[in-house]
Amino acid sequence: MVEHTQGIAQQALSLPVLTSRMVWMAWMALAVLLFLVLDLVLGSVNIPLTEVVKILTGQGSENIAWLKIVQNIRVPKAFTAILAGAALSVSGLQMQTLFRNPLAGPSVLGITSGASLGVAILMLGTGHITSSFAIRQLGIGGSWLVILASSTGSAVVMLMVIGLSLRIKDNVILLIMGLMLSNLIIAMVSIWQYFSEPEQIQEYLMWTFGSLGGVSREQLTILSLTILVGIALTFSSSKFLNLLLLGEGYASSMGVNIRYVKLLVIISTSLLAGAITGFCGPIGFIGIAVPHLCRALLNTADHRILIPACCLLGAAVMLLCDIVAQLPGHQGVLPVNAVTAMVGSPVVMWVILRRKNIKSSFS
Amino acid sequence: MNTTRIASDTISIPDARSCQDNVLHTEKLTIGYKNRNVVRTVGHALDLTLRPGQFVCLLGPNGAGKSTLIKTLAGIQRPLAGKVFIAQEDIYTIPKNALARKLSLVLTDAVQTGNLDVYTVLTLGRYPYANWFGTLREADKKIIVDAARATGIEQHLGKQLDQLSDGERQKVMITRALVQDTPLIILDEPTAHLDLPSRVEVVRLLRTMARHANKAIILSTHELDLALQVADTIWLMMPNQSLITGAPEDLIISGTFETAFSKSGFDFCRNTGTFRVNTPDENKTIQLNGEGYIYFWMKRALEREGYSITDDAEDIVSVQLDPEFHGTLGRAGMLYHFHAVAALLTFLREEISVKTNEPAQV
Repeated sequence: MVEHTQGIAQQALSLPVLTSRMVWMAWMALAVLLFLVLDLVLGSVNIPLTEVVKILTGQGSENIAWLKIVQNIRVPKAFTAILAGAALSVSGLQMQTLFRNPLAGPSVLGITSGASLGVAILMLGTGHITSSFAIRQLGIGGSWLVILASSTGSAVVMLMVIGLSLRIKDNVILLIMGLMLSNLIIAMVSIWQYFSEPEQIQEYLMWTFGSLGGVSREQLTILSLTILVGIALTFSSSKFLNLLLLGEGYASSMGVNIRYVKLLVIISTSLLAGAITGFCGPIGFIGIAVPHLCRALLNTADHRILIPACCLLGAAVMLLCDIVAQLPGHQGVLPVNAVTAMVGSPVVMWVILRRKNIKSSFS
Repeated sequence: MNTTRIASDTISIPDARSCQDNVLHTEKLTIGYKNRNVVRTVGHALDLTLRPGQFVCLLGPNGAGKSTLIKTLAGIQRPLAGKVFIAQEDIYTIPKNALARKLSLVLTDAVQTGNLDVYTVLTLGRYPYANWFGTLREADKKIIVDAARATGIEQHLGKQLDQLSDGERQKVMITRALVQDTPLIILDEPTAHLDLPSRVEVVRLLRTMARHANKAIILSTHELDLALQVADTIWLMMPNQSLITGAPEDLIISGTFETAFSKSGFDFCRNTGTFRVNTPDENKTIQLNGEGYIYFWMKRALEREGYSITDDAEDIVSVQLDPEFHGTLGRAGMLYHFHAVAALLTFLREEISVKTNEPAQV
C-alpha cells in the first residue's frame, strides 16, 4: 500500500508528465522557427530560402529588391507577429485567471478598444487619425507616446472591468458588460470619425483590420522592450496567478495580496495588449484561444509552464496567420484580424461546447 | 500547560490572558456587516479563546452571524470593534504571507478549475513557505505526500480536480490546509454541499487532525448532530448577539440549545440532542416496555405516529429481541403479537382510524 502510493506521488510530480510537456514545448519552439522561415520566404513575391538565409546572415543578395523586402518589410513584420502573438496570449492568459472566466481576453473585455481610444485621443491632439502610418510620422519619441497612450487607455478600461467584476459575480454578465463597454468606446471613436476627413476614415478602417506591417525597425526595438517588461512582470507573478486558480478567497488565505496582484495584472495586461493594439490595431481571438490550446495540449494550469508555452504557441499561431494573410503568390493581402478570427473563433466555440456550464466553471 | 477545561455554567468564558499558548483569542470583539449603509451587529463584545488541539464547532441559527464571525476571525472582514489575536499578535499587524503560515482556510464552494491535478493543488499549500517562484524543496514534497496519506486521498494525487466527487474535492482542500501546516484551521461550512457519508468522513478527518496533529480547528456548520458528537467545544451564536461557549453536553444540559433554536414548530430535544420533528398528538398516549436499541427504535416509530410515551397509558407495547423483533400490544385485556414494527404500526393506525370514523358513521 505504502509503496503503491509512493509510486503515484512520484508519477504525479516528476518525469513522465514533465517530459511530455517538454516534448510539446519543443514542438512549439520548432513551429515558431518553421513559421518564421516560411513567413520570410512566402509573400506576394516568393524569395528562395537560400537567399533569405544569405540576407539574414549578412551576406546580402544580388537581387536588391529581395534584400529590401526581407530587411525592411518581412523581418520587422515577422518579429512584430512574434511579439503580438506572445503578448496577446500572455495577457489573455492572466485575464482568464484573474476573472476566472474562460472567455476573458483583451479583445472581449474592451482592453483593445481602450487602447484604440488612447491612441485616438493622442492622434486627435496632434491632428492625425489613428493609423500605424500616422504613428510612424511621430518618430521614436512618438512611439513611446503611442505606447503610453494605448496602455493608459487599456488600463482605464481594465480598471473599469475590475470595478464591475467586484459587483458582478456572473461570468456571462461580466462578459456582456465588457462587450458593451467595448462598444461604447468604439462608438465614441466613431462619432469622432464622423467629423473627420474621408481619407482619414479610410486609414482608420485600415487600422481596425489589424496590420503587422506598420512597425518600423526602430519602433520594433521599443515595442519589444515593452513586451519583454510585460511578460517579465507576468512571469514574476506566476506564483500568485497559480494561487488565484483556487479563487480569491483561497488565494488571500494563502498569502496573496489580492490588490497588489490585481495591480500587477492591470499593468502588465495594459502594457502587453495596449502596446500591440497601438501599433498593430485590434487583433482579436489570439488572446482567448491560445491559452486554451496551451492548457489542453500541456494539461496543466500552472502559469510557470503556461506563460512560456503561451509565448511560443502565440508566436507560432500569429506567424501562421500572417503567412495566410499574405496570400502567398498573390498580390493582395488579407486583413490579419480576419485571419485570426477564422483561427480563433472555432477554438472559442470548442471551449464553450466542451464546458457546457460556462457560468460557473472556469476552464 | 493548564489543560483543565472550565465547566461551563451557561456563560462562563475562560480568561484570555491567563493562557499564553492560545492559538487564537479575541478581545471585546464586535462583529457585523454593512448593508446599504445600515450597520447590523451580529455579535457583541465576544471574548473567545482557542487552544492547540481544540476542535470547535461554530453553530447557530441561520442569520445569527456564523459566516461574519468566521470572516472576521480569518482576517477577511474587519471587526466593528475589538481585536482578533493570532498567537498573541493582532491579526491586522501580521503580514499576509506570515499569516498564511499561522492560519489556513477551507471554504464552502468547491473549486472547479480545469486542467488542475490534485498534486498541484496541494503544492499550492506550500507556497507560503516557498520562494517567489514557488519552487518546492524535497521536504515540501514529503509534507504533501504525508498529508495526502493522512487524509486518505493519496490515490487521487495524479487525478484532475474535476474528476473527483464534491466530497473528495473538499477533502483535497482540507488536505491542502494541512499541507499549509498552520496551527489554526478555519472551515466555513465545508460540508454544506456534501452527502451524508462525505460529511461524516470530513468531520471525522478534522477530529483526527485536531487530536493527532494538535491543530486548533474552527468548523462552522449546520450539522448539529455531527457537531455535538465530535466537538470539544461548541461556540453557539445566539440570536441576541451573544455567543455561548462550552462542551456540547453542558450546553444541552443547561438548555442553551433549546433557547438558541427556539422557533415555532422546531424543538430541540434535550434527551436525544436532536431536533424533534414529530410533535405528539394530543390524547395519543402509550406505554412502552423494552430495552436497548429495540426500545429506542420502537420509541422513534411510536413518536412518529404521534404517540407520547407515558407510564399510565391504557395500551402497553412491549418489545424484545427473540431472536428477531418481537412486539406485543396489550389492549383491553387482549394481547396482539407482531414480528415487525411496520405491522404493529399498521395495526395501531387502523384501530385508531376505526375509532375516529365510528362516530361519523353513526
